[in-house]
Amino acid sequence: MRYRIERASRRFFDQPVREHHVQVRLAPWESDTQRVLSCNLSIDPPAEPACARDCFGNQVHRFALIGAHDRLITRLVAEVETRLVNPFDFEPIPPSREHDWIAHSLRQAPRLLDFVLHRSDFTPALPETLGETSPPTFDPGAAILGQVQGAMDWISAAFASRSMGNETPAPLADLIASGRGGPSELAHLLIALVRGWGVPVRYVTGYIDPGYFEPDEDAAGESAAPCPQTRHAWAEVLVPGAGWRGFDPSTGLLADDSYIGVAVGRDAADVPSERSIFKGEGSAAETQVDLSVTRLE
Amino acid sequence: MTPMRQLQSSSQTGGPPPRTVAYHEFYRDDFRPREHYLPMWEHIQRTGQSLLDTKAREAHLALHTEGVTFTVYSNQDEGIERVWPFDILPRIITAEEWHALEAGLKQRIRALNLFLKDLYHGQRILKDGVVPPELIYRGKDFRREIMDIDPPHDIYTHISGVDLIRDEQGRYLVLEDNLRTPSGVSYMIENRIVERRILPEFFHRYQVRRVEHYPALLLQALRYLSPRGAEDATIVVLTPGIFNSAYFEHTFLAKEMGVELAEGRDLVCKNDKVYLKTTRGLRRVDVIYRRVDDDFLDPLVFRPDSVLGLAGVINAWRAGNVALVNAPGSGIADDKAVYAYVPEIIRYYLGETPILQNVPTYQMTDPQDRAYVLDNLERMVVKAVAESGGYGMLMGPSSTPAQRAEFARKIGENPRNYIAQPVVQLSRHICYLDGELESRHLDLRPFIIYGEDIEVVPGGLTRVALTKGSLVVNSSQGGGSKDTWVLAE
Repeated sequence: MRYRIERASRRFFDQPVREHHVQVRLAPWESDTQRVLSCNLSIDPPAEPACARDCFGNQVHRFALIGAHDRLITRLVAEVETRLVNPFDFEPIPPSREHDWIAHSLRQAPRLLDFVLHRSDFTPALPETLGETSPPTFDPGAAILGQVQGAMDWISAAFASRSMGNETPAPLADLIASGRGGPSELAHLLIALVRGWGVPVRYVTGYIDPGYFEPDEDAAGESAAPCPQTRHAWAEVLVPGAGWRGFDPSTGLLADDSYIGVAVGRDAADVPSERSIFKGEGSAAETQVDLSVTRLE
Repeated sequence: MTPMRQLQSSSQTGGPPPRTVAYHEFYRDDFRPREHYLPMWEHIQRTGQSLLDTKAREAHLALHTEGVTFTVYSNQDEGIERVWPFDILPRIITAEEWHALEAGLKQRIRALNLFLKDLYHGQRILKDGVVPPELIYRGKDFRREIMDIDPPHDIYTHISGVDLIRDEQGRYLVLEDNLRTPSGVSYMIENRIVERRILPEFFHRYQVRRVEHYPALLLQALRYLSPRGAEDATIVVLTPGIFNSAYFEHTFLAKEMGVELAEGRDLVCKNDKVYLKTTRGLRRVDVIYRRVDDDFLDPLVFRPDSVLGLAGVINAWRAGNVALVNAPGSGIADDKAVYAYVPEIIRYYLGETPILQNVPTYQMTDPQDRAYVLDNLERMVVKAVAESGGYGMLMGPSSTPAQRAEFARKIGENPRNYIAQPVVQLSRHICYLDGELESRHLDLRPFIIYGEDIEVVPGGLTRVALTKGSLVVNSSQGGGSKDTWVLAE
């Protein structure tokens, strides 16, 4: 699938600010299953972004506006080709050998431990029961892929999904208390659960096909207008034999070529779309973000 | 069975350990001064009590007027400044002893730097299972943000302070490595300045090696790191400001080296380069000797609420446009849980037998070690792995049952955060205290500078536990100090 991504974020300050350092994680990644055809990041006031990789391998663009300015507008235009048509298309490993496969992967790449050990307010260790429901327990005799799907089904049944909305996700305790969460919170729940099984799992942010934002056909009569597009979040599990595979508890689907990856981390705190520091008295109202992902024929 | 486990089981089967007498650095077993102390002893006898007393008061006055102070953080969130406590009788280390120490320290620092480079790049030592990867990835001071960055000349710990103690047999043991921003070097120098002024006659009897050139050695090492070459290097000392307990030292070192003392707000990053704001415009900075902790160094990368650091400095470092001293992330190598593996780290990277031994250490992540320690807390020193300065520590023998219960709970909650060591009777030395010669326990912190080569400054900071019988030497916990003389021959 080919997509064009246009994203603009606008921030206006009530008084000028200076020494404004900004890091963004916005550009789609390049991988075996995702090719970036073009990518352009522009900044107003003008600044030349530089790029480096963080410890998770993500592309991080950075720039600095040293002089006084009262606005920051960041525009990204990118075209991507996604190729993962069928996420199930791989040679599976017998369940009895899956844990050896994971142990071997961890020995070869100790960096993966971050995705097993990390606990935070977003991905805490889970108690045996959450209110009236209990998270599925791990069955060492069954395939990991199927068990993660089972966990996703459990999340869909026990928690209501809402749109991504605000980019700052809530701690997992809020999701458990309210029973409702956006894609980030649901992804964190899946991560917290799968980490408890000792399986590497990471948080992903990215963009998804515009079709996901269109109203349900069943509900079309009530509101025909699509939801505004937002950045999306899901989880990736290191599936024995396959490598990283995306699981999206907000849709209940495995990520395929309708998902466009941008950055991975232990949880949402590792991959904010923007991180910035400035000096000055000015403050800004909330950043306005407009996102448009279109499918190219 | 690990060496620790063997030691543990032998002490378990052998009943309570026999009472041991701490090594005395000054007296031999028959209470005669050791040979290298004889000239000093004769001199003290000739000087007499009243003159010694005058000298002690003069020393205190000199430190007071020079403004040689340190800060104790109290529970009231206020810093209390105190005059640096100093004992006029020096500690003397023979040339022979020093040679062995120097070789051991160089070996250790060389290995720890190779370890840091490996941890932040290929992680060979973790893949080979020599150091458990979980230990690193659970470590608070492992800075994944600096993965794959190449510091100039692959040096991470340009300045190290290694704490040494002597056990009951007089053997030097490493108690801990301080690889972040070890402090105390200014006191080492001030001690020497005062000692020379107050007791010049002592120095006539010995050939004492100099320590006063430390700032020159440091400056040379810092220049060596400059990306624009040593000649053009602009160097700054980055301080968190006057509220820091080591602010005295920051000003001292900047003044002695003739470089700028800066706070984060005096610097700015532009196009991955660091500049100092001066009255004549921006001036490019090549080397930052930072005395700001990793967490506060760059709000863009570490704690976003930090106002002590400099936004963008990690990117400038990554781009090779500035050197950071010590490198961020060095703290993982002096994590007290990693400490237990340093002998293995030396063998792994250098293929050599460690010259300096560690104090035996129990890992609280190991269930058997943990059970043993919890049963014997009153005989243990328990330390939080990422704390220093004597904070977050349980001194078993002098603890109350309530304190032991509190630590047992903390260990249970977060075993990775604690280690335990059997109480080692630190060596003793005579001190001139309130008109008497009394013995007190002490340790030694030599300073190691890693520039073009590794240099150990001949001397160090001798810290004294001024309270009788106490084993806690930290100045923040009521410790004092002595001048440390390394003899030339």
